[in-house]
Amino acid sequence: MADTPKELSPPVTARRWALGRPGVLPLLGLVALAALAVFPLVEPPIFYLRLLATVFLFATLAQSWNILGGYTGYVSFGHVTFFGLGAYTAALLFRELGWPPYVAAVPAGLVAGLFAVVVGYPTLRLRGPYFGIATLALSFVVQLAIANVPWTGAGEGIVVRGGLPFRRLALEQFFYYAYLALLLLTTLAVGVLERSKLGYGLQAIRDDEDAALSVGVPATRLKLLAFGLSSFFAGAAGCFYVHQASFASPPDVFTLGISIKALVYAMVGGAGTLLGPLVGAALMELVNMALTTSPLGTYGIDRIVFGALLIIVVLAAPGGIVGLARRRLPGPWRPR
Amino acid sequence: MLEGSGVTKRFGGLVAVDAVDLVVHEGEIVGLIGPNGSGKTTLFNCIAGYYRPDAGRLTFRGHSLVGRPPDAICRLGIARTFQLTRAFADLSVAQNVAVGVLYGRAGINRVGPALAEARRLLDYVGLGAMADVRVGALTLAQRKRLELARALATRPRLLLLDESLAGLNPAEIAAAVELLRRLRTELGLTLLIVEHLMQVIMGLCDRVLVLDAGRKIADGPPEAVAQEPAVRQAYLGTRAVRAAREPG
Repeated sequence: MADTPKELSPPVTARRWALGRPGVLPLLGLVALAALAVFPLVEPPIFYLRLLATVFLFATLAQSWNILGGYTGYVSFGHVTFFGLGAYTAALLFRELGWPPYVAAVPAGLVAGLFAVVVGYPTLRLRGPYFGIATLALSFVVQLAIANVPWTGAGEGIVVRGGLPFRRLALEQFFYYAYLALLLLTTLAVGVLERSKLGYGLQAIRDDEDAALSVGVPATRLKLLAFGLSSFFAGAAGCFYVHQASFASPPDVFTLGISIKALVYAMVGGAGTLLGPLVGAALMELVNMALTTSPLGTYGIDRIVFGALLIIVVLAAPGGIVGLARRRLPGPWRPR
Repeated sequence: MLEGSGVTKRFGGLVAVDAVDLVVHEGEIVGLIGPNGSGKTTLFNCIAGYYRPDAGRLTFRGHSLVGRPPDAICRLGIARTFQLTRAFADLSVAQNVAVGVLYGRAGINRVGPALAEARRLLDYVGLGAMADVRVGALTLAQRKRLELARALATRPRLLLLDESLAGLNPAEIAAAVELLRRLRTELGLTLLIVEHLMQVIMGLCDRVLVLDAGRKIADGPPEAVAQEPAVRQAYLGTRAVRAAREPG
């Protein structure tokens, strides 16, 4: 293997150098994707359509969080800020101009991404837990600000109804496919990023920022780029969410729970890996559903379980499920 | 090539580097020595942009270094290694070096060619066999070579080496000294070296700067500097020097 320097190795080659090309998982992934693509066409119960759509939504949020938190090492506790800004941008574009979600998604993402670049300029100088605290505080500040501006509906929120000319089933199918497409796009972007010059720079910053500077990595610029990209996808997700919920209100689209979910899902699945956020979101949303629909489920039980799982993962398997699988599974089954 | 005058860096009341003048000419190998805490690493950090000097000027090939961030200084042509090796732990050895190829110089912007170039550099420093290994699997001597390869990846003209031989065994030191000589003869590099090992300084350097308590106390060929009373005093203490001078 050492004599094929031309091969485009992803940044995790080191972990799979001994076992050659992975075979089974990409194939499995394609089969799963095909199944997910035809699933809404068999007109399943709406409950399952919604469940999967929710998995896609949170997988997108976890994957976008992953760009900054997993690959760059800047753990944000305020990812919801950008989700919420995207949601409000879409709501306002609908109220003022009647734009449907598939048109508003790009501007919603841009508003979120640009805001991230602006607030990233001062906050990304903070390292370690200080950055996390700053992002957490930011999410509260933005929520309060929007709740007090009359133009954004203040505490009343904005109604976003009738943006799409679909009936009930078709509407559910639309959001299912929209979230799936957004998830694919985000994951594709992260996959390309991981093997690109930018991805190498970000991972160098994560592993040792001073050393990265010493070899010419313009850390400030790259971190802003990562923050902007991460927030762009979160904002686009917020756009579809607000049309699905048909309502935007500060406590709804700026809730701390969404920040926590993005972070926990990515870390449980494996931060800094391409598959981690997908695995984490799928698993944890199912756990979440089981908890909230079972007789055991009481208000808040999901947070207790999430907290416990996060502690277990951080202590026992810092690389998350994907990290564990890389170490334990036989070659062909091993994720990158 | 590198010129500094009156370079001063204070930490609160402590003057870590005190009005130091220095010159490094193109093609030279210059040693920077001094007791622990004498300001060697602080001076390095001023040159490499990690600290901003409180006073004084520092220029490299006519460009002022003061206030320039480390990544920009790297792209001007100054590369450094760290006293305690600082590799990118989650990347492979080749990927570590590829980061330097991608960002430290112009011309290679794609990962594939960068990795190929990284392998070439790893071969050059004698680490070619470890290219696909994770950094954690390297020995200390190999990690130091990795840092060197990563610094070389940025195509520097001036290389700052901060105790890059500390902790190595005698055989590894001999090999490393040989490698440093080749950097000058084969790559035309200028070296500024912080080192505690006197045999390395004596055998390798054209000139030595001695720092003590932040001040430059000597500057000259290694043999001459080693004879200077101020230097002996800094290293051995006043009494030991007096005792040696006046036996009995």
